Amino acid sequence: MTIDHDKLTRLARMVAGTRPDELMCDQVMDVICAYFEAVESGAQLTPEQQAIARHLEACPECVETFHGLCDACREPGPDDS
Amino acid sequence: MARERSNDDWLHDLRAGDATAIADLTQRLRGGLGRALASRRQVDDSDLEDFAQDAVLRVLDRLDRYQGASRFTTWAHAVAVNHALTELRRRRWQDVSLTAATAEGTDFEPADDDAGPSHVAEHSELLQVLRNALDTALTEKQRTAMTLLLEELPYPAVAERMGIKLNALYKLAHDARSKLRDALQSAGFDDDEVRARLAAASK
Ligand SMILES: [Zn+2]
Repeated sequence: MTIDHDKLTRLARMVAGTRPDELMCDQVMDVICAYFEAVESGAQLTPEQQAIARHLEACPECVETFHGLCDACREPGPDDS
Repeated sequence: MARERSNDDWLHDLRAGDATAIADLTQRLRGGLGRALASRRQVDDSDLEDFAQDAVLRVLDRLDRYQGASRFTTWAHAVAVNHALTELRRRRWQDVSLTAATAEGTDFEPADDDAGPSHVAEHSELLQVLRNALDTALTEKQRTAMTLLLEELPYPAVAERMGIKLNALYKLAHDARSKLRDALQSAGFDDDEVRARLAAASK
């Protein structure tokens, strides 16, 4: 297959963000709720939560899930279904 | 309207199979999914119903995994959203042909020259090193995984196609990125240098 210019550029960005101790997507999903509530409340982020923030900067899938969670948790009024 | 429950109330009522609690949860998750997926045209009401029903079953199935680190409803919404998005990604990629993505060999298409000659040259040098590393520094499995991921196939779809567990794929991809990063660093491109060149090229 052809690895085109855009894909290589994307790969370069992914590679430059690689850290030995980075969180994997499944680890992010395990702690995304507490992260969401910390962000929502403006609380100081723990080091682990800062690692989540870094992961979200680089991972389109997790950030999509995070935004979905933000939307889902925007509780409507009591009669809104 | 649904009554407010504490985290413990939810757990207690759902564990007891309380029909009202299950109905309340279904309604909440259905509402949450409606908000989360509102901008997606390919999702209709029957999808939302299905996703909500599935989500409730998943939540009931996983009650023991809720550890109280967040509100129960946040956790339940996360289970629902994650499941729905995984399903939508799977649908989106179900029909993508594997053959195109795993055919042997990788060809490098040079950049178009419209980014300015000096930027392109610096950028191309970086990408050429990366391209060579893809071919020489990775195992066959790592190369296949990275190639599929670069096709923007989601992780679950790639894992399914490679016949490996999701966790194994995360590890494989992380190892591959680490090797590529080592290769770039050996060639004099540390992380800051890579970012600087990417930024210069995108101007
Ligand atoms: Zn991720």
